Amino acid sequence: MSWSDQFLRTRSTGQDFASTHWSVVLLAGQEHSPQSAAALEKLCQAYWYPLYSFTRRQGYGPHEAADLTQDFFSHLLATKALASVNREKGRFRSFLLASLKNLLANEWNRARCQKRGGGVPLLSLDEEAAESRYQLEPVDELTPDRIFERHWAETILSRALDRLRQECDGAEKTRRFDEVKMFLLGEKGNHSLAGAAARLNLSLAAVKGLVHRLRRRFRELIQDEIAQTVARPEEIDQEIRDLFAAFGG
Amino acid sequence: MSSPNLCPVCGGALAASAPEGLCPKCLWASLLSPEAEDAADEPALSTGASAAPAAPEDSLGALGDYELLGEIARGGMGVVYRARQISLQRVVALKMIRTVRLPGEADMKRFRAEAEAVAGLEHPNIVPIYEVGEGDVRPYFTMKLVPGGSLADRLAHKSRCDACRNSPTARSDGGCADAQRTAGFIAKVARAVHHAHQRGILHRDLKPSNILLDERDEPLVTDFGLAKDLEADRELTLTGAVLGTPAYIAPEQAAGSKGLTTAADVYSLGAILYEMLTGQPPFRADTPLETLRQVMEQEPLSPSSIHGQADRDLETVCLKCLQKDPARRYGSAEALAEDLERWLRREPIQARRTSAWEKGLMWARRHKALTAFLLLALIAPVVIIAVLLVTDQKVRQERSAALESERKANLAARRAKAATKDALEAKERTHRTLYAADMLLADQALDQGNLALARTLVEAYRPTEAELSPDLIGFEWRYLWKQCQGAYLHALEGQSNAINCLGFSPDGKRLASADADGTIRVWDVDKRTVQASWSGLSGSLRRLRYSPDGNTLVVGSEEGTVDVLNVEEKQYLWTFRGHTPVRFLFTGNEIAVYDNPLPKTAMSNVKVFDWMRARETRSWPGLGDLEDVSPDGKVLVLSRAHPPVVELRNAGTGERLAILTNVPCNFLALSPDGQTIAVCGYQARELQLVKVHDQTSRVALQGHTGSINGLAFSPDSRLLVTASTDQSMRIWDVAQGREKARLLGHVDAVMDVGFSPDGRVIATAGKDRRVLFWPADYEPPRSVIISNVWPPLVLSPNGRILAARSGEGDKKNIALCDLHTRRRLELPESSDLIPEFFSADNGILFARGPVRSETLVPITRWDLAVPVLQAETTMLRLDSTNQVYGGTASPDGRYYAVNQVGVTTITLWNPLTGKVERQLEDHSVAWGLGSTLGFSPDGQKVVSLMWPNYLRLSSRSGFNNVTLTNVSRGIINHLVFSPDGTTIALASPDHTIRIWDASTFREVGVLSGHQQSVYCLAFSPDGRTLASCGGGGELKLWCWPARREVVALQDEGGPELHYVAFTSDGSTLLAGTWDGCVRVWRAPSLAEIDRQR
Repeated sequence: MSWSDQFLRTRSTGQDFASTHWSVVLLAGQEHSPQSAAALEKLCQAYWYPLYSFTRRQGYGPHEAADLTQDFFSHLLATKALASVNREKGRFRSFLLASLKNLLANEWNRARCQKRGGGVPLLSLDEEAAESRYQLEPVDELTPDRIFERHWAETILSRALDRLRQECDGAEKTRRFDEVKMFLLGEKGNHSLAGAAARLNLSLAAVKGLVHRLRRRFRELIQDEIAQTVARPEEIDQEIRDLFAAFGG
Repeated sequence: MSSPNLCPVCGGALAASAPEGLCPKCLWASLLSPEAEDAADEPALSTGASAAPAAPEDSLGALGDYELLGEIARGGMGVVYRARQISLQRVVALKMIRTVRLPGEADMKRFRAEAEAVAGLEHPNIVPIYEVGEGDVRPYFTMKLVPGGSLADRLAHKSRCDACRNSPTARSDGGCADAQRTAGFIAKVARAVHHAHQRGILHRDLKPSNILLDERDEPLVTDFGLAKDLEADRELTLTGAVLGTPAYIAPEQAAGSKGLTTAADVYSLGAILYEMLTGQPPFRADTPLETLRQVMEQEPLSPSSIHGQADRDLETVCLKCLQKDPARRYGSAEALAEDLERWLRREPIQARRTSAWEKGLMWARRHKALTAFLLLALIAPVVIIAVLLVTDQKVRQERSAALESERKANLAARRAKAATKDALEAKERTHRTLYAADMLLADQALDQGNLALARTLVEAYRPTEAELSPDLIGFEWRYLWKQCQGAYLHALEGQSNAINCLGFSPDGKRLASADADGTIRVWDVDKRTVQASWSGLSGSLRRLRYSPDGNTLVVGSEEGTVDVLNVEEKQYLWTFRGHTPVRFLFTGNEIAVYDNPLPKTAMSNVKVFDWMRARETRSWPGLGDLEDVSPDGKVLVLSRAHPPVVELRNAGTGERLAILTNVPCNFLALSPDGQTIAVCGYQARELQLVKVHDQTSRVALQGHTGSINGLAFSPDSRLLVTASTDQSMRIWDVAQGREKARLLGHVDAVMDVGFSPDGRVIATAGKDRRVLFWPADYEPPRSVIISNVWPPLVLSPNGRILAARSGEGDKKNIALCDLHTRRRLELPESSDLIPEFFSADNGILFARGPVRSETLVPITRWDLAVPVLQAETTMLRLDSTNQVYGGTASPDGRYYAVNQVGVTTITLWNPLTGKVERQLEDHSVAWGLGSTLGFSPDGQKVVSLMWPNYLRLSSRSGFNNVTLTNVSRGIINHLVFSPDGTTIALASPDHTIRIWDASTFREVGVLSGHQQSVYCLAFSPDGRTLASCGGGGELKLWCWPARREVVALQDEGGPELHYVAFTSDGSTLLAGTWDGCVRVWRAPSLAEIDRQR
């Protein structure tokens, strides 16, 4: 057993890698089991905004982009698109983007996609929220691929941070979380640990410990989120590095 | 709290959607930063806040029995801390091994075994290891803390001392050792290393920073062999470098050889000795890789050639250690120590100098092919003479001996042939690489406007009958050749000097030019012949104008003279002698000059002459530098430097009409309509358009990379032209304030520029001794030839017809576009169809329709040869209901395969009959951006890419499959066979093009250069050029024989492309953009190029 396997078993959420969403989808292959469908749906529900922003960036209007995203998922969920991915493993992110590009290149297939899905939306995509978020994005020179990768990374961050906040159950813990979450960025900024300690009425050592635990947990949650979208545990670190490139890093 | 919209760490703007209001980039960066990892592994903190002891504020935490006090050093492979061992209350050095991946059980076991062996070393010149431990997850060890720093620090200090020529004090300093001390020092180190060698431990990374110095400057070797395997992993994965420090490692270590011996350490000792003697390591290049190459291939310079005072015997010892062949070095580190000690005792050393013959032999070993070639040249005549002698004299008596000789001769001939072949191949290879490099340089030179360089590089490869590798020259050469031709109409040539200035006669029929030698020529513009000339004018002529009546020429020189002459009548009228510099302008029937007797200190005087009578009519002292005059002669434009202003004054009265402030001016031109002034600033490349009546309206014109020598407005004031030292002439649109065209044609600086009076022609004077004429209405060739064509684009085999979808919104019919006539024909009722391919004879277009009744795919075809197009449809029956997303046809149009989601059999149909021709089992196609199914040119092989990176090749003899393990990110976007069918090129999202051998089915090369994912590939019909388009709008040409990039047709930032193709005659490259356009790049044929010779 590799070190990464050990790490995931002992230090992450204790979950077996074989049960991560993308692994389930890949393992199911042609069998199209209810579990794999549910797993795929969960992934799609989580990662649709990066696809929406990619489509918008390609020049489609808000309605068109929402429709295309919806069509894309309908098609993905309704057909056996994943049957051909059963032999070798790949990343969910690469698969989605390649598939979407293909759909856009064949955009005239749209009418038929809708027919297949029966026009019934399979996912709950909040089109209005998505568009207002898209409108708030800084207008920059990013290519659609970069936009997609960046939003993918941001989705992972959001999901991990949401879980981290949920774990900080209770008023006092939430207050502590709010006070020290800044230090997840590192301690290079203007924020001093001493200031946070004073505000929380804790010793400096206690705040250091708190920050340390928060960072470690945050890291674990990020790894867990990424684990859901890759086929092998050793790909997690590579995915972290690849996605950092999306920020121009 | 800082502004809520800025990240407190990086200062970047925060989007409203930033998770928890935290900067996503910094959050992500925190996942990568080693600090985060280190923190996570620090047990002092991880024990939790409540249990954390009140550690002193300066403590970095604790590790087992050790409290970390501070960081001493940090390198690629570990961090060394000063630490206090709590149980023994002593201060030690603690080294934590850094690795990319955390070590597994096997790694740890090896580390422990090795560490224990090193801990067993007891020698006064070896840093003792105290303890080996494992932190939370990382191994560490502790050792004696040596206070005096390392030899590397001392050597650096010495070089600083030498740099500031502080040698007397430096000499007495321990680090700046003299020869005696150096020899003694290295001898001690060598004995310590030998001690380790005797116990089976190699150091493997001896270098000055691993030799520490104690209080008495005694050397202590540290970092023996420990954890090198773990570290090797890091070095290799992160930098691709070889373990060790390039400047000090032995050649066999640089070559990545596994079975290292003690000789590798002896080499490193020699390298350290070398640096102590000369102040620099034996090899040091800009990059580690280059250093490694030198270590393996070059001989070091002798120390005495660097440092004249180096002792010859010590030099011999040092160079013996640095021998490339381990067997030629000292047999042990002890032998080195002994020889050094002999030298110290002034006894003869045992090492001897390498003779010239040995040096030659060593050179020959490293250059086998060349040596074989040279030997062949020497031996071949001897062999031939021997054979002749044998056959002539002994053949009758000793037939058998003759036969034996013949056999030997044949053998020698065969060997000679093989050697010749090797040498020729090496030469060819070099030639190919040079060609590719030169084309890349030519492309860059054109980009920078350096036509002279580009032309030299391109012309060097012009094919001639005797030339090597005529099959090297591809589309890129012909394209670049065309770019090198320049866009001018014609040239006035045959002049022997650089031409400095020119001027058209008012009727536009004559043009006068003045060259650097002081010769003036008057040309007949239509006949392009010299009508008259005048030579012998003194000074460097800078400005030449016809008088308004066209009878007289006025010439101004750099030295301050203005000569008025009638060249055609050979009449000299008068001369004004001013001071440096002088400029003149016509104001109606008068001529105005400005002159500054005391340049830079006083303002210039402006004088006006009746030039016919050579009489001064009025003058204004100290008015400023005269720059231009309005066409009617009524307004003078003047400039001043302090403060930088431009003034407009009445030419009759000198009264000021307008002042433009803050306009730094080197020289300027007033537009004929009097509205705009073009100013060349003090920085000679700056150009500004300033509106006379609205000073706030200023536009900077940027583009020239060399200083601007001349500028002129068109008579209608719409255009401005500039001449520059950068060899280019540029046309600017005045109203829009932007560059309209950059014109190349001169192969040296362009000195002057002028419009013909009718504004139709521009003339330029060049340092290249030519005057060139250009069309004023020049438009750069339009690269976009078709718009409103949407993917997929399908080109007919003859390269004439492009089929694509065309129309507005969702309603798109298939359109056929004739690339020659640009005519377009829409196929009615085709809105639901996707164009797929043309038949091999170009006569039939096939299109795929939407799936009917789940398993039937209609294939519609139009016979393009008949006058009335009529669609005919064939049904292909699928086995599965899965979605169809594309199709591919074989080059001969005989087979057609649809790509279907999740189907693992590829069915090849006859598209005309709809019959199944072949089925390729267990063979599917992955989703890519383009086609990931390819037919070999002969149609015999099918290669497809299966999800996610699994390449399968089917041929008549069966199939091969290979997992593309090297493709780490995403799936391949497109694949294509080379026209000779031997190789397959894959467009990869990891920014590369991967090359596979179609017969051995192995990866044989990778082309790197794209900044983003590569989308689509196309080979030129001759197979010499590969075109690739990728993300960010990049479009590149690659020289296929050399496997190198040669031309960037579009850089990052161009319009995004999805398609590239060559026309079948190899004359045109087409690219499809995502906004529905087709761009073209054309190259003339070799025959056309030959005609223009």
